[in-house]
Amino acid sequence: MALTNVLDITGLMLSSFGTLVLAAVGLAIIFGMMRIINLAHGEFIMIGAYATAFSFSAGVPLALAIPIGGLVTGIVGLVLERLIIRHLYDRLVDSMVATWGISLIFAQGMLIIAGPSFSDVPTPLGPISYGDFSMSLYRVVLAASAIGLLIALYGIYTYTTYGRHARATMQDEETARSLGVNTDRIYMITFFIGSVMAGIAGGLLSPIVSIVPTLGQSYIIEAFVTVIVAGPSVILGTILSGFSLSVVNAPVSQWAGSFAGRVALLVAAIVIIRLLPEGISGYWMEGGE
Amino acid sequence: MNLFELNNVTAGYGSTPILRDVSLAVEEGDVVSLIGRNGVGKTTLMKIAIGLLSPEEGDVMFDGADVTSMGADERARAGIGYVPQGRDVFPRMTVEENLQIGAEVGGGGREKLYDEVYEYFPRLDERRDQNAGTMSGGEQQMLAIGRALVGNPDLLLLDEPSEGVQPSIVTEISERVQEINEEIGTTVLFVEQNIQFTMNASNSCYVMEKGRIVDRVSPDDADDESVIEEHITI
Repeated sequence: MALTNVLDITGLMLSSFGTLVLAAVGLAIIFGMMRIINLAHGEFIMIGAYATAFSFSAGVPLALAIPIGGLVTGIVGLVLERLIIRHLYDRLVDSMVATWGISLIFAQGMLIIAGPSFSDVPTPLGPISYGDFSMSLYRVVLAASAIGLLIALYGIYTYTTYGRHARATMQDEETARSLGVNTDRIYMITFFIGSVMAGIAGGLLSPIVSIVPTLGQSYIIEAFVTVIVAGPSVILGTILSGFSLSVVNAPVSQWAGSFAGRVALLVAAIVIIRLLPEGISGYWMEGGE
Repeated sequence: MNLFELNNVTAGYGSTPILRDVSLAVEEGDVVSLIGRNGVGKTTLMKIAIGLLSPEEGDVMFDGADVTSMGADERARAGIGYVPQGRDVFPRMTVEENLQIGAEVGGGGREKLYDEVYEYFPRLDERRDQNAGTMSGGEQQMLAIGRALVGNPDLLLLDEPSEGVQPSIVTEISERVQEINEEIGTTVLFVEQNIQFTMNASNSCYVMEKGRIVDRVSPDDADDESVIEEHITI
């Protein structure tokens, strides 16, 4: 196998890993921790991408436009949580129907507001090349940002009072409440953080996708698959899950096209869940006890 | 002065009544127990005391105020430390992190008792960085008590502290409860079906049957042990 092929696959793996982890990072909080099946997660990413693209076209530098995308999505998430989601905790099926409805409203609403497409964000940073091999440096940035976001989450959930309270609430809500934790507020903040993460992911992905109202739909499946394969540990699980799935996805995409790559990814996910029903990090944690 | 009172509390799940017209009072500085067999409503009573359940009728008084409409988290911050049945430590958090959650009890204004908790329960000190879910039943019970105590509550509520704990540790825990009461001055209310724990730790004991309080005895009085046994054995 020529060196160029190896580099090509490595490049694909980087972008596959970055995309999977970014798609999953907000959902790892909202579904992984809070157990809310948020079918509007893809639309949260879409809103982040739009807010970033809009800010960028208004002259804001991309590095600033991406956090704006996160913040806008966070505020949208916060309003939704207060108005709708908080009434649906512990109502799994109802929350699926409601968030599916929200996803349709957001996608169609964006179509009405902004039309069928919005001006694309150019990919920054240019290519890196070696012989016949060439890939966008931005792929490296995506993968690094994905890990950076997970490390930031690790910091929040390990070292802050909110983080400890959130973990306690997710492990045993009633006991946390009986010890003075305002669990209603914890759910609100947690949903907000998950929404911000989805929005930042949308912002980071905005330079490599077409800004269309339906862009969220291309991420929702991968996001859920990555979170389920990840298992109970948000940080370690998501990294291992993104890595395992991209190791399968990238070479198959290289040799047989991206559709086959996607099929391979889903097959790999089914096999992993069949063998490790608690996900990768669930197996890891069981082994540690 | 009564630190804590239930006045004519009636409660249940749906149409099934669990507690009928229950009144009890805990004087400040006292250790009071409530004994009864499985299923008489002890845990329901404790959940009403901390605010995880609302009574259908009657009211809950704490520190001279009516707290019936306050949520559990507000009551905890006002100074009630709650040790749930079956301990319910946070399994995937370390011993130290579990205690840090308990620091919310009593609100921000008062001195926290980390050093005291580690002194009363040296095993917790040895296991600060261990995940709580990996400890034995007795150790988890110590952690659950330490977690409720660390925030320096005025009232400590214990729901069956001897359950699932080996007998030697039961004695140790009942001694710690007495020491906490004597040295820190924490008022204690616990529910139990273990006679030994009740005799050791409490000054005053309510007896509950089928959701009603049927007797109040003093465990220091030797004659009353037989009264308690009569109530608790079938």
